[in-house]
Amino acid sequence: MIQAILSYRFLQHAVLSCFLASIVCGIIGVIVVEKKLLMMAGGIAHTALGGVGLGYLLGFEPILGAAAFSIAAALGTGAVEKKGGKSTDVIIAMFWSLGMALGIVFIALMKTYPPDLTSYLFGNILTVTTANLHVMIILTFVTVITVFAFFNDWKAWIFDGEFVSIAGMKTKWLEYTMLLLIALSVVVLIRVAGIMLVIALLSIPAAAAAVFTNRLAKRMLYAALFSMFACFSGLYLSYRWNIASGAAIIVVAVTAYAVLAAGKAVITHLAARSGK
Amino acid sequence: MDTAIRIENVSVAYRSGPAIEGINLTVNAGDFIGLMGPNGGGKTTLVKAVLGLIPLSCGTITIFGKDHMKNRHLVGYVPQFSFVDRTFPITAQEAVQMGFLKGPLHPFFRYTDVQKQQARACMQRVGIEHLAGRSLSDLSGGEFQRLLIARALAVNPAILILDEPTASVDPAYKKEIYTLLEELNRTVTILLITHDMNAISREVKTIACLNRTLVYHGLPELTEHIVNKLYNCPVDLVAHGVPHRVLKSHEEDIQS
Repeated sequence: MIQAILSYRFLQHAVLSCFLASIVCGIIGVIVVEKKLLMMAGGIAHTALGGVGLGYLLGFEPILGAAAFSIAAALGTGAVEKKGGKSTDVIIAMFWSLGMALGIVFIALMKTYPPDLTSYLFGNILTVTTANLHVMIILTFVTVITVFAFFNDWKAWIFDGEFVSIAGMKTKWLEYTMLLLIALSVVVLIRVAGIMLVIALLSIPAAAAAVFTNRLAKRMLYAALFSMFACFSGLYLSYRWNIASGAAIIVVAVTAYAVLAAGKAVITHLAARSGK
Repeated sequence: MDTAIRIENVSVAYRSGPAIEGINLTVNAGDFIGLMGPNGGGKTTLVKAVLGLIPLSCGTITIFGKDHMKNRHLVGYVPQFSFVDRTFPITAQEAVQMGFLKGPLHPFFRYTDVQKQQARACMQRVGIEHLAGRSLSDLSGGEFQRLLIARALAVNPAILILDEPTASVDPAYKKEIYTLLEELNRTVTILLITHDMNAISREVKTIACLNRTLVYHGLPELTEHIVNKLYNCPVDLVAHGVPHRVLKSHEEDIQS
Protein backbone atom coordinates (compact mmCIF):
# COMPACT_ATOMS: atom_id res chain seq x y z
CA MET A 1 0.00 0.00 0.00
CA ILE A 2 2.95 2.32 0.67
CA GLN A 3 3.81 2.08 -3.02
CA ALA A 4 0.24 2.97 -3.90
CA ILE A 5 0.28 5.96 -1.56
CA LEU A 6 3.40 7.26 -3.27
CA SER A 7 1.97 6.87 -6.72
CA TYR A 8 -1.70 7.85 -6.39
CA ARG A 9 -2.76 11.37 -5.59
CA PHE A 10 -6.14 10.25 -4.18
CA LEU A 11 -4.35 8.09 -1.60
CA GLN A 12 -2.08 10.96 -0.65
CA HIS A 13 -5.18 13.08 -0.09
CA ALA A 14 -6.70 10.30 1.97
CA VAL A 15 -3.66 9.99 4.21
CA LEU A 16 -3.40 13.72 4.72
CA SER A 17 -7.09 14.05 5.53
CA CYS A 18 -6.82 11.20 8.06
CA PHE A 19 -4.02 13.10 9.71
CA LEU A 20 -5.92 16.41 9.82
CA ALA A 21 -9.17 14.81 10.95
CA SER A 22 -7.36 13.05 13.78
CA ILE A 23 -5.85 16.25 15.12
CA VAL A 24 -9.22 17.94 15.07
CA CYS A 25 -11.18 15.14 16.64
CA GLY A 26 -8.52 14.67 19.31
CA ILE A 27 -8.82 18.29 20.42
CA ILE A 28 -12.48 19.03 19.82
CA GLY A 29 -13.63 15.53 20.78
CA VAL A 30 -12.18 15.87 24.27
CA ILE A 31 -13.78 19.30 24.70
CA VAL A 32 -17.15 18.07 23.45
CA VAL A 33 -17.07 15.02 25.71
CA GLU A 34 -16.02 17.02 28.79
CA LYS A 35 -18.62 19.72 28.13
CA LYS A 36 -21.19 16.95 27.55
CA LEU A 37 -22.21 18.33 24.19
CA LEU A 38 -22.13 15.15 22.11
CA MET A 39 -25.78 15.39 21.17
CA MET A 40 -25.33 18.98 20.12
CA ALA A 41 -22.34 17.97 18.00
CA GLY A 42 -24.47 15.23 16.44
CA GLY A 43 -27.15 17.78 15.64
CA ILE A 44 -24.67 20.18 14.11
CA ALA A 45 -23.21 17.39 11.96
CA HIS A 46 -26.56 16.21 10.64
CA THR A 47 -27.71 19.73 9.84
CA ALA A 48 -24.75 19.91 7.46
CA LEU A 49 -26.55 17.63 4.99
CA GLY A 50 -28.87 20.53 4.21
CA GLY A 51 -25.85 22.56 3.15
CA VAL A 52 -24.52 19.72 1.03
CA GLY A 53 -27.88 19.49 -0.74
CA LEU A 54 -28.00 23.25 -1.30
CA GLY A 55 -24.48 23.17 -2.70
CA TYR A 56 -25.46 20.54 -5.25
CA LEU A 57 -28.68 22.37 -6.12
CA LEU A 58 -27.10 25.77 -6.66
CA GLY A 59 -23.87 24.40 -8.03
CA PHE A 60 -21.30 25.47 -5.41
CA GLU A 61 -18.88 23.34 -3.43
CA PRO A 62 -21.07 21.19 -1.13
CA ILE A 63 -18.51 21.29 1.70
CA LEU A 64 -18.94 25.08 1.93
CA GLY A 65 -22.68 24.61 2.18
CA ALA A 66 -22.05 22.08 4.93
CA ALA A 67 -19.88 24.63 6.74
CA ALA A 68 -22.54 27.34 6.51
CA PHE A 69 -25.31 25.05 7.76
CA SER A 70 -23.17 23.66 10.60
CA ILE A 71 -22.25 27.13 11.78
CA ALA A 72 -25.88 28.23 11.65
CA ALA A 73 -26.92 25.16 13.63
CA ALA A 74 -24.15 25.68 16.20
CA LEU A 75 -25.02 29.32 16.80
CA GLY A 76 -28.74 28.52 16.76
CA THR A 77 -28.56 25.79 19.39
CA GLY A 78 -26.13 27.93 21.40
CA ALA A 79 -28.58 30.83 21.46
CA VAL A 80 -31.41 28.51 22.50
CA GLU A 81 -29.32 26.97 25.25
CA LYS A 82 -28.55 30.45 26.58
CA LYS A 83 -32.24 30.96 27.15
CA GLY A 84 -32.15 27.80 29.18
CA GLY A 85 -34.87 25.31 29.89
CA LYS A 86 -35.41 21.76 28.95
CA SER A 87 -36.11 22.59 25.34
CA THR A 88 -32.45 22.40 24.20
CA ASP A 89 -32.80 18.70 23.40
CA VAL A 90 -35.89 19.33 21.36
CA ILE A 91 -34.24 22.14 19.40
CA ILE A 92 -31.21 19.95 18.70
CA ALA A 93 -33.52 17.22 17.42
CA MET A 94 -35.24 19.74 15.15
CA PHE A 95 -31.99 21.07 13.67
CA TRP A 96 -30.83 17.47 13.31
CA SER A 97 -33.84 16.30 11.32
CA LEU A 98 -34.60 19.56 9.51
CA GLY A 99 -31.05 19.67 8.16
CA MET A 100 -31.31 16.17 6.79
CA ALA A 101 -34.78 16.80 5.40
CA LEU A 102 -33.62 19.96 3.62
CA GLY A 103 -30.72 18.02 2.14
CA ILE A 104 -33.11 15.51 0.63
CA VAL A 105 -35.50 18.24 -0.55
CA PHE A 106 -32.72 20.24 -2.25
CA ILE A 107 -31.46 17.12 -4.03
CA ALA A 108 -34.98 16.29 -5.13
CA LEU A 109 -35.36 19.78 -6.63
CA MET A 110 -32.35 19.23 -8.88
CA LYS A 111 -33.25 19.05 -12.57
CA THR A 112 -30.22 16.88 -13.36
CA TYR A 113 -29.48 13.32 -12.34
CA PRO A 114 -29.27 13.37 -8.48
CA PRO A 115 -25.83 12.90 -6.95
CA ASP A 116 -25.07 10.07 -4.56
CA LEU A 117 -25.14 11.34 -0.99
CA THR A 118 -23.59 8.21 0.47
CA SER A 119 -20.09 9.63 0.48
CA TYR A 120 -21.28 12.57 2.60
CA LEU A 121 -23.37 10.40 4.91
CA PHE A 122 -20.80 7.69 5.56
CA GLY A 123 -17.60 9.30 4.45
CA ASN A 124 -15.44 8.47 1.51
CA ILE A 125 -11.88 9.23 2.25
CA LEU A 126 -10.79 7.98 -1.15
CA THR A 127 -12.61 10.79 -2.94
CA VAL A 128 -11.27 13.79 -1.02
CA THR A 129 -10.73 16.57 -3.55
CA THR A 130 -7.98 19.17 -3.50
CA ALA A 131 -10.59 21.80 -2.64
CA ASN A 132 -11.78 19.67 0.32
CA LEU A 133 -8.23 19.33 1.44
CA HIS A 134 -7.57 23.06 1.37
CA VAL A 135 -10.66 23.69 3.49
CA MET A 136 -9.57 20.99 5.92
CA ILE A 137 -6.05 22.37 6.27
CA ILE A 138 -7.29 25.87 7.06
CA LEU A 139 -9.89 24.69 9.56
CA THR A 140 -7.47 22.38 11.33
CA PHE A 141 -4.98 25.21 11.62
CA VAL A 142 -7.61 27.57 13.04
CA THR A 143 -8.75 24.94 15.56
CA VAL A 144 -5.27 24.11 16.81
CA ILE A 145 -4.23 27.75 17.19
CA THR A 146 -7.45 28.76 18.95
CA VAL A 147 -7.34 25.95 21.46
CA PHE A 148 -3.62 26.18 22.07
CA ALA A 149 -3.52 29.97 22.50
CA PHE A 150 -6.27 30.04 25.12
CA PHE A 151 -5.60 26.65 26.63
CA ASN A 152 -5.72 27.73 30.28
CA ASP A 153 -8.92 29.66 29.64
CA TRP A 154 -10.53 26.64 27.97
CA LYS A 155 -9.46 24.39 30.78
CA ALA A 156 -10.83 26.62 33.54
CA TRP A 157 -14.03 27.37 31.63
CA ILE A 158 -14.85 23.76 30.83
CA PHE A 159 -14.20 22.78 34.43
CA ASP A 160 -16.34 25.50 36.01
CA GLY A 161 -17.72 28.24 33.79
CA GLU A 162 -19.54 30.04 36.59
CA PHE A 163 -16.42 30.38 38.70
CA VAL A 164 -14.33 31.95 35.95
CA SER A 165 -17.13 34.26 34.83
CA ILE A 166 -17.15 35.76 38.33
CA ALA A 167 -13.46 36.54 37.88
CA GLY A 168 -14.38 38.42 34.71
CA MET A 169 -13.56 35.86 32.03
CA LYS A 170 -15.31 36.29 28.70
CA THR A 171 -17.23 33.06 28.93
CA LYS A 172 -19.66 34.00 26.17
CA TRP A 173 -16.77 34.44 23.77
CA LEU A 174 -15.42 31.03 24.75
CA GLU A 175 -18.81 29.42 24.40
CA TYR A 176 -19.53 30.74 20.94
CA THR A 177 -15.97 30.09 19.81
CA MET A 178 -16.33 26.52 20.98
CA LEU A 179 -19.61 26.13 19.08
CA LEU A 180 -17.92 27.50 15.97
CA LEU A 181 -14.99 25.12 16.43
CA ILE A 182 -17.40 22.20 16.77
CA ALA A 183 -19.11 23.26 13.55
CA LEU A 184 -15.77 23.56 11.77
CA SER A 185 -14.56 20.22 13.08
CA VAL A 186 -17.70 18.61 11.76
CA VAL A 187 -16.82 19.99 8.33
CA VAL A 188 -13.30 18.59 8.59
CA LEU A 189 -14.60 15.19 9.64
CA ILE A 190 -17.41 14.85 7.10
CA ARG A 191 -15.24 13.61 4.24
CA VAL A 192 -13.49 11.14 6.51
CA ALA A 193 -16.25 9.76 8.69
CA GLY A 194 -19.42 11.05 7.10
CA ILE A 195 -22.24 13.03 8.62
CA MET A 196 -23.79 10.04 10.36
CA LEU A 197 -20.52 8.95 11.94
CA VAL A 198 -18.91 12.24 12.96
CA ILE A 199 -20.22 11.83 16.47
CA ALA A 200 -18.28 8.56 16.76
CA LEU A 201 -14.99 10.20 15.84
CA LEU A 202 -15.61 12.91 18.41
CA SER A 203 -16.44 10.52 21.24
CA ILE A 204 -14.49 7.26 20.80
CA PRO A 205 -10.94 8.68 20.70
CA ALA A 206 -11.72 10.92 23.69
CA ALA A 207 -13.06 7.92 25.59
CA ALA A 208 -10.02 5.84 24.66
CA ALA A 209 -7.68 8.59 25.84
CA ALA A 210 -9.54 8.73 29.15
CA VAL A 211 -8.48 5.12 29.74
CA PHE A 212 -4.86 6.26 29.88
CA THR A 213 -4.69 9.70 31.38
CA ASN A 214 -6.35 12.15 33.72
CA ARG A 215 -4.73 15.26 32.23
CA LEU A 216 -6.57 17.40 29.74
CA ALA A 217 -3.71 18.14 27.33
CA LYS A 218 -2.56 14.54 27.31
CA ARG A 219 -6.12 13.42 26.65
CA MET A 220 -6.18 15.57 23.53
CA LEU A 221 -2.84 14.20 22.39
CA TYR A 222 -3.74 10.56 23.04
CA ALA A 223 -7.15 11.01 21.45
CA ALA A 224 -5.47 12.36 18.32
CA LEU A 225 -3.03 9.43 18.25
CA PHE A 226 -5.81 6.91 18.79
CA SER A 227 -7.81 8.53 16.05
CA MET A 228 -4.83 8.34 13.69
CA PHE A 229 -4.55 4.64 14.37
CA ALA A 230 -8.26 4.12 13.71
CA CYS A 231 -8.28 6.31 10.62
CA PHE A 232 -5.22 4.76 9.00
CA SER A 233 -6.43 1.23 9.73
CA GLY A 234 -9.86 2.17 8.43
CA LEU A 235 -8.33 3.72 5.36
CA TYR A 236 -6.48 0.49 4.66
CA LEU A 237 -9.66 -1.59 5.02
CA SER A 238 -11.57 0.91 2.96
CA TYR A 239 -8.98 0.80 0.18
CA ARG A 240 -8.61 -2.96 0.35
CA TRP A 241 -12.27 -3.97 0.31
CA ASN A 242 -13.93 -0.83 -0.98
CA ILE A 243 -15.95 -0.22 2.19
CA ALA A 244 -17.18 3.28 3.09
CA SER A 245 -14.27 4.77 5.01
CA GLY A 246 -16.40 6.08 7.87
CA ALA A 247 -17.82 2.64 8.58
CA ALA A 248 -14.39 0.97 8.43
CA ILE A 249 -12.84 3.57 10.73
CA ILE A 250 -15.58 3.34 13.32
CA VAL A 251 -15.51 -0.45 13.43
CA VAL A 252 -11.76 -0.31 14.04
CA ALA A 253 -12.15 2.46 16.63
CA VAL A 254 -14.83 0.76 18.68
CA THR A 255 -12.99 -2.56 18.60
CA ALA A 256 -9.76 -0.91 19.69
CA TYR A 257 -11.56 0.96 22.45
CA ALA A 258 -13.18 -2.25 23.71
CA VAL A 259 -9.78 -3.97 23.81
CA LEU A 260 -8.18 -1.03 25.66
CA ALA A 261 -10.99 -0.67 28.17
CA ALA A 262 -11.08 -4.41 28.85
CA GLY A 263 -7.29 -4.53 29.15
CA LYS A 264 -7.31 -1.65 31.61
CA ALA A 265 -10.06 -3.30 33.65
CA VAL A 266 -8.09 -6.55 33.85
CA ILE A 267 -4.90 -4.75 34.86
CA THR A 268 -6.69 -2.71 37.54
CA HIS A 269 -8.32 -5.88 38.82
CA LEU A 270 -5.02 -7.76 38.98
CA ALA A 271 -3.29 -4.82 40.66
CA ALA A 272 -6.03 -4.64 43.26
CA ARG A 273 -5.73 -8.37 43.95
CA SER A 274 -1.96 -8.36 44.26
CA GLY A 275 -2.21 -5.32 46.46
CA LYS A 276 -4.28 -7.22 49.01
CA MET B 1 -18.61 50.23 59.13
CA ASP B 2 -18.16 49.46 55.44
CA THR B 3 -20.88 47.67 53.57
CA ALA B 4 -19.63 44.56 51.80
CA ILE B 5 -22.84 43.57 50.02
CA ARG B 6 -25.98 45.62 49.72
CA ILE B 7 -29.04 43.93 48.26
CA GLU B 8 -31.93 46.28 47.56
CA ASN B 9 -35.42 45.17 46.65
CA VAL B 10 -34.10 42.23 44.64
CA SER B 11 -36.38 39.71 42.97
CA VAL B 12 -35.43 36.82 40.72
CA ALA B 13 -38.00 34.89 38.76
CA TYR B 14 -37.59 31.66 36.85
CA ARG B 15 -40.06 30.52 34.26
CA SER B 16 -41.74 28.44 36.94
CA GLY B 17 -42.34 31.53 39.05
CA PRO B 18 -40.57 33.81 41.50
CA ALA B 19 -37.62 32.25 43.35
CA ILE B 20 -36.91 35.21 45.63
CA GLU B 21 -38.91 38.37 46.08
CA GLY B 22 -38.25 41.81 47.47
CA ILE B 23 -35.03 40.97 49.25
CA ASN B 24 -33.34 43.75 51.20
CA LEU B 25 -30.19 42.69 52.94
CA THR B 26 -27.03 44.48 53.95
CA VAL B 27 -23.89 42.55 54.81
CA ASN B 28 -21.32 44.61 56.69
CA ALA B 29 -17.64 44.17 56.00
CA GLY B 30 -16.18 41.73 58.49
CA ASP B 31 -19.49 39.98 59.05
CA PHE B 32 -19.86 36.23 59.13
CA ILE B 33 -23.41 35.75 57.97
CA GLY B 34 -25.20 32.43 57.85
CA LEU B 35 -27.90 32.15 55.21
CA MET B 36 -30.42 29.47 56.00
CA GLY B 37 -33.82 28.32 54.90
CA PRO B 38 -35.64 25.32 53.46
CA ASN B 39 -34.70 23.60 50.22
CA GLY B 40 -36.09 25.60 47.34
CA GLY B 41 -36.20 28.66 49.59
CA GLY B 42 -33.92 30.58 47.23
CA LYS B 43 -30.60 30.54 49.11
CA THR B 44 -28.52 29.50 46.12
CA THR B 45 -30.56 31.78 43.85
CA LEU B 46 -29.81 34.78 46.06
CA VAL B 47 -26.11 33.98 46.12
CA LYS B 48 -26.01 33.48 42.35
CA ALA B 49 -27.79 36.79 41.92
CA VAL B 50 -25.14 38.49 44.03
CA LEU B 51 -22.45 36.85 41.88
CA GLY B 52 -24.16 38.00 38.70
CA LEU B 53 -24.68 34.43 37.49
CA ILE B 54 -28.41 34.92 37.03
CA PRO B 55 -30.20 38.09 35.96
CA LEU B 56 -32.24 40.11 38.43
CA SER B 57 -35.91 40.65 37.67
CA CYS B 58 -35.71 43.86 39.65
CA GLY B 59 -33.64 45.56 42.32
CA THR B 60 -29.96 46.39 42.66
CA ILE B 61 -26.98 44.72 44.26
CA THR B 62 -23.74 46.46 45.12
CA ILE B 63 -20.48 44.97 46.31
CA PHE B 64 -18.29 47.40 48.24
CA GLY B 65 -20.28 50.32 46.90
CA LYS B 66 -20.08 49.45 43.20
CA ASP B 67 -22.52 47.58 40.99
CA HIS B 68 -22.05 43.87 41.67
CA MET B 69 -21.08 43.12 38.06
CA LYS B 70 -18.12 45.50 38.43
CA ASN B 71 -16.93 44.20 41.76
CA ARG B 72 -17.83 40.54 41.78
CA HIS B 73 -14.22 39.60 41.11
CA LEU B 74 -13.61 40.44 44.78
CA VAL B 75 -15.65 37.41 45.75
CA GLY B 76 -14.24 33.93 46.26
CA TYR B 77 -17.04 31.50 45.47
CA VAL B 78 -17.28 27.96 46.78
CA PRO B 79 -20.12 26.40 44.80
CA GLN B 80 -22.16 23.49 45.96
CA PHE B 81 -20.01 20.46 45.63
CA SER B 82 -22.47 18.60 43.41
CA PHE B 83 -22.48 21.42 40.82
CA VAL B 84 -18.84 20.79 39.86
CA ASP B 85 -17.54 17.98 37.66
CA ARG B 86 -15.44 15.76 39.90
CA THR B 87 -14.12 13.66 37.02
CA PHE B 88 -12.58 16.53 35.07
CA PRO B 89 -9.07 15.51 33.91
CA ILE B 90 -6.84 17.90 35.86
CA THR B 91 -4.78 17.79 39.05
CA ALA B 92 -5.84 19.34 42.33
CA GLN B 93 -3.13 21.96 41.91
CA GLU B 94 -4.40 22.92 38.45
CA ALA B 95 -7.90 23.37 39.83
CA VAL B 96 -6.68 25.70 42.59
CA GLN B 97 -4.60 27.75 40.13
CA MET B 98 -7.75 28.61 38.23
CA GLY B 99 -8.43 31.07 41.05
CA PHE B 100 -5.63 33.24 39.63
CA LEU B 101 -7.31 33.73 36.26
CA LYS B 102 -8.61 37.30 36.47
CA GLY B 103 -9.95 39.39 33.63
CA PRO B 104 -11.33 38.56 30.20
CA LEU B 105 -8.94 36.20 28.40
CA HIS B 106 -5.37 34.99 28.77
CA PRO B 107 -3.73 34.19 25.44
CA PHE B 108 -0.55 32.10 25.71
CA PHE B 109 -0.79 32.33 29.48
CA ARG B 110 1.30 30.16 31.78
CA TYR B 111 1.07 30.14 35.56
CA THR B 112 4.17 31.66 37.15
CA ASP B 113 6.25 29.85 39.73
CA VAL B 114 5.06 32.35 42.31
CA GLN B 115 1.45 31.48 41.51
CA LYS B 116 2.24 27.79 41.78
CA GLN B 117 3.71 28.46 45.22
CA GLN B 118 0.66 30.48 46.19
CA ALA B 119 -1.62 27.68 45.05
CA ARG B 120 0.30 25.32 47.33
CA ALA B 121 -0.12 27.78 50.18
CA CYS B 122 -3.89 27.91 49.62
CA MET B 123 -4.00 24.12 49.63
CA GLN B 124 -1.98 24.07 52.81
CA ARG B 125 -4.51 26.30 54.53
CA VAL B 126 -7.23 23.73 53.96
CA GLY B 127 -4.90 20.82 54.68
CA ILE B 128 -4.67 19.21 51.25
CA GLU B 129 -1.19 20.28 50.18
CA HIS B 130 -0.09 16.65 49.94
CA LEU B 131 -2.76 16.04 47.29
CA ALA B 132 -1.48 18.69 44.85
CA GLY B 133 -0.46 16.21 42.16
CA ARG B 134 -3.52 13.99 42.43
CA SER B 135 -6.22 13.82 39.79
CA LEU B 136 -9.58 15.23 40.81
CA SER B 137 -11.18 11.85 40.32
CA ASP B 138 -8.90 10.38 42.99
CA LEU B 139 -10.04 12.82 45.68
CA SER B 140 -12.59 11.90 48.32
CA GLY B 141 -15.69 14.01 48.80
CA GLY B 142 -14.23 15.88 51.74
CA GLU B 143 -10.94 16.48 49.94
CA PHE B 144 -12.76 17.81 46.90
CA GLN B 145 -14.79 20.13 49.08
CA ARG B 146 -11.61 21.52 50.61
CA LEU B 147 -10.15 21.90 47.15
CA LEU B 148 -13.04 24.16 46.18
CA ILE B 149 -12.32 26.31 49.23
CA ALA B 150 -8.60 26.46 48.33
CA ARG B 151 -9.55 27.62 44.83
CA ALA B 152 -11.71 30.39 46.30
CA LEU B 153 -8.80 31.45 48.53
CA ALA B 154 -6.56 31.68 45.46
CA VAL B 155 -8.79 34.53 44.31
CA ASN B 156 -7.50 36.43 47.37
CA PRO B 157 -11.07 37.44 48.07
CA ALA B 158 -12.47 40.28 50.16
CA ILE B 159 -15.69 38.31 50.47
CA LEU B 160 -16.02 34.55 50.64
CA ILE B 161 -19.33 32.99 49.64
CA LEU B 162 -19.78 29.31 50.41
CA ASP B 163 -22.75 27.20 49.36
CA GLU B 164 -23.17 24.34 51.83
CA PRO B 165 -19.49 23.53 52.28
CA THR B 166 -20.28 20.94 54.94
CA ALA B 167 -23.06 19.13 53.11
CA SER B 168 -21.14 15.98 52.31
CA VAL B 169 -18.31 15.78 54.80
CA ASP B 170 -17.81 13.93 58.03
CA PRO B 171 -18.29 15.65 61.40
CA ALA B 172 -14.58 15.86 62.24
CA TYR B 173 -13.90 17.73 59.04
CA LYS B 174 -16.92 19.96 59.60
CA LYS B 175 -15.30 21.30 62.75
CA GLU B 176 -12.06 21.92 60.88
CA ILE B 177 -13.89 23.87 58.20
CA TYR B 178 -15.60 26.10 60.74
CA THR B 179 -12.33 26.72 62.54
CA LEU B 180 -10.78 27.72 59.23
CA LEU B 181 -13.68 30.02 58.39
CA GLU B 182 -13.48 31.71 61.79
CA GLU B 183 -9.81 32.31 61.21
CA LEU B 184 -10.41 33.66 57.69
CA ASN B 185 -13.15 35.89 59.01
CA ARG B 186 -10.54 38.09 60.68
CA THR B 187 -9.74 39.54 57.27
CA VAL B 188 -12.55 38.36 55.00
CA THR B 189 -16.31 38.88 55.01
CA ILE B 190 -18.05 35.53 54.87
CA LEU B 191 -21.46 34.53 53.61
CA LEU B 192 -22.27 30.91 54.31
CA ILE B 193 -25.26 28.94 53.08
CA THR B 194 -25.95 26.05 55.37
CA HIS B 195 -28.52 23.61 56.63
CA ASP B 196 -26.48 23.07 59.71
CA MET B 197 -28.32 24.79 62.55
CA ASN B 198 -25.54 23.91 64.97
CA ALA B 199 -23.08 25.85 62.91
CA ILE B 200 -25.44 28.73 62.49
CA SER B 201 -25.64 29.21 66.20
CA ARG B 202 -22.01 28.80 67.18
CA GLU B 203 -19.85 30.20 64.46
CA VAL B 204 -21.69 32.96 62.67
CA LYS B 205 -22.15 36.55 63.75
CA THR B 206 -25.50 37.14 62.09
CA ILE B 207 -28.03 35.02 60.29
CA ALA B 208 -30.46 35.63 57.48
CA CYS B 209 -33.41 33.32 56.97
CA LEU B 210 -34.77 32.98 53.48
CA ASN B 211 -37.93 31.35 52.28
CA ARG B 212 -38.64 33.18 49.04
CA THR B 213 -38.74 36.37 51.07
CA LEU B 214 -36.31 37.38 53.78
CA VAL B 215 -37.91 36.12 56.96
CA TYR B 216 -35.31 37.23 59.44
CA HIS B 217 -31.99 39.00 59.57
CA GLY B 218 -30.17 39.62 62.79
CA LEU B 219 -28.35 37.97 65.63
CA PRO B 220 -28.13 34.19 65.51
CA GLU B 221 -30.84 33.61 68.01
CA LEU B 222 -33.61 31.71 66.38
CA THR B 223 -36.96 31.77 68.01
CA GLU B 224 -39.48 29.09 67.44
CA HIS B 225 -41.65 31.65 65.74
CA ILE B 226 -39.03 32.41 63.10
CA VAL B 227 -38.23 28.79 62.48
CA ASN B 228 -41.89 27.96 62.09
CA LYS B 229 -42.33 30.81 59.69
CA LEU B 230 -39.25 29.73 57.78
CA TYR B 231 -40.22 26.13 57.31
CA ASN B 232 -43.96 26.72 57.20
CA CYS B 233 -44.51 23.96 59.72
CA PRO B 234 -43.73 23.48 63.36
CA VAL B 235 -40.14 22.38 63.90
CA ASP B 236 -39.16 20.95 67.21
CA LEU B 237 -35.82 22.59 67.77
CA VAL B 238 -34.86 20.74 70.93
CA ALA B 239 -35.67 17.34 69.53
CA HIS B 240 -33.23 18.00 66.68
CA GLY B 241 -30.42 18.42 69.13
CA VAL B 242 -29.95 22.11 68.51
CA PRO B 243 -28.03 23.73 71.34
CA HIS B 244 -30.04 25.62 73.85
CA ARG B 245 -28.68 28.96 72.75
CA VAL B 246 -30.50 28.79 69.46
CA LEU B 247 -33.86 28.35 71.03
CA LYS B 248 -34.90 31.48 72.76
CA SER B 249 -37.61 30.50 75.16
CA HIS B 250 -41.11 30.46 73.82
CA GLU B 251 -42.13 34.05 73.42
CA GLU B 252 -45.65 34.70 72.40
CA ASP B 253 -45.24 38.36 71.53
CA ILE B 254 -42.65 38.22 68.78
CA GLN B 255 -42.83 40.89 66.16
CA SER B 256 -41.28 40.19 62.81
